[in-house]
Amino acid sequence: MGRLRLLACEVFKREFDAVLAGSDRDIEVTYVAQGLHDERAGTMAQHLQGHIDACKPGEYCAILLGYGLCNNGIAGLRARHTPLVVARAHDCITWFLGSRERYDKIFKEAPGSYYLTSGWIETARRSLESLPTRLSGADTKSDTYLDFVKRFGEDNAQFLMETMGAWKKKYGRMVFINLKVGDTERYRDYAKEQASEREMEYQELAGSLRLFGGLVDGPPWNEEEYLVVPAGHEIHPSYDEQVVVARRPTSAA
Amino acid sequence: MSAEEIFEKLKKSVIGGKRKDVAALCTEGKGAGIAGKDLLTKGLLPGMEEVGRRFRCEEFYIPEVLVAARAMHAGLEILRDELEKQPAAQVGKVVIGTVEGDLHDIGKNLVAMMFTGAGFEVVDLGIDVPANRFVEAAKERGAQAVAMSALLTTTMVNMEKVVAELRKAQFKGKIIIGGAPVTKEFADKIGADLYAADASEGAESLRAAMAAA
Repeated sequence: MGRLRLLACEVFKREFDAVLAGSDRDIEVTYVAQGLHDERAGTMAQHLQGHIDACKPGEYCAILLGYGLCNNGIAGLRARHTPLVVARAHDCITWFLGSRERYDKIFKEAPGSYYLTSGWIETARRSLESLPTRLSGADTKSDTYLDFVKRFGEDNAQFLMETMGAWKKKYGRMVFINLKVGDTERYRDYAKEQASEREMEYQELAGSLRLFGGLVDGPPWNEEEYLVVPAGHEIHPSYDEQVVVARRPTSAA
Repeated sequence: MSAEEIFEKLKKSVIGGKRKDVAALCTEGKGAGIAGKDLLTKGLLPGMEEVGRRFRCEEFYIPEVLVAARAMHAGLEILRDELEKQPAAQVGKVVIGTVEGDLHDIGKNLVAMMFTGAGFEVVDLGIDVPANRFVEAAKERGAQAVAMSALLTTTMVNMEKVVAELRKAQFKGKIIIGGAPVTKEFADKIGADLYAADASEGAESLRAAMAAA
């Protein structure tokens, strides 16, 4: 089987490293900074397209994307000469839980859940900064707050912290998905601590590496769970349970 | 200060998110006998339109828009009594909410503020709003428009159900949708009348659609 290229979000580093440790595949891996989907629309796709375009024809048999649809962050990505493969997932939670069906079920039970994994805490814990603790209110020492004070004054800064963090107050459950990678003990304690500081219910769920393993095991890929984007096609949201579809581009670029 | 000076200062203060200045200027304008409608249409709204323009050009981001909308609201509060006496200023009633399963409301609140600023009466249903509540509220309140928001690709699909139920209930008004993952293509697919890429566009296009209807 031919050489593979994997481009994955850094929150998946522990998981992909774990499955690759047990794999004999010839694979070149790049972990890309988390948080790109928080940037302006198009930033994430642009960045990833740069990595895709840097691959030469015939160099790899497929380019694997360790991503979900991620707020349309991968929408518009184009396979040039080499197929792209991506899981049919809205976001990283599907990856961590092992299947769309499981995520759907858990999401419907409690939409107000905040998910953590060891890898996520390692790479993206700063996102938790704006999650207000019920004991202290918005964190008035955070960089975000200080930046707001500088730009808009104290009155507006308090309003912004409250307004921009308000949705998170409706999140009543902190879920630690245990994938048995990285320093699980330490990060479980961290997740518990974060939950208790915010008077959120703490829950631990067993994670699964099956989608990670399935991606680096192909070809072939199970098309129910992965989208294979043929050369010359683009990734688009499908707005249904398929999550993503491959389409011929409508404009030349 | 002349009326022109007050309008200009109001505009600048809205753009800069200076809530107290906006309130003070509206009070001063009112005291000087300037019509509330003029303070709104020549001061507050042009300021907010400029904010919308800068937001689209990526000169402004969400925090700038939020503080500007808050400043505009401080002005509206001062003018409220006077503006409410002029029903002609009211361009229509809109029911707004974030769809079922979605708990996010920054964007939805921003849109609601923009609608208010554009002269709409806004009925805000909040977050995690099931389809039947949109339908009931639109009927009970006699709304001319329903606006829906979603932040997640997992929850935006619930908009389709709301559109279907509104149509089934013979809702004749406009349906407008928006939110980070929402696209024009999706709006067309589910049969919504309007799609807005951002809060200021939402208010403008709904106002235009209502005027045309």
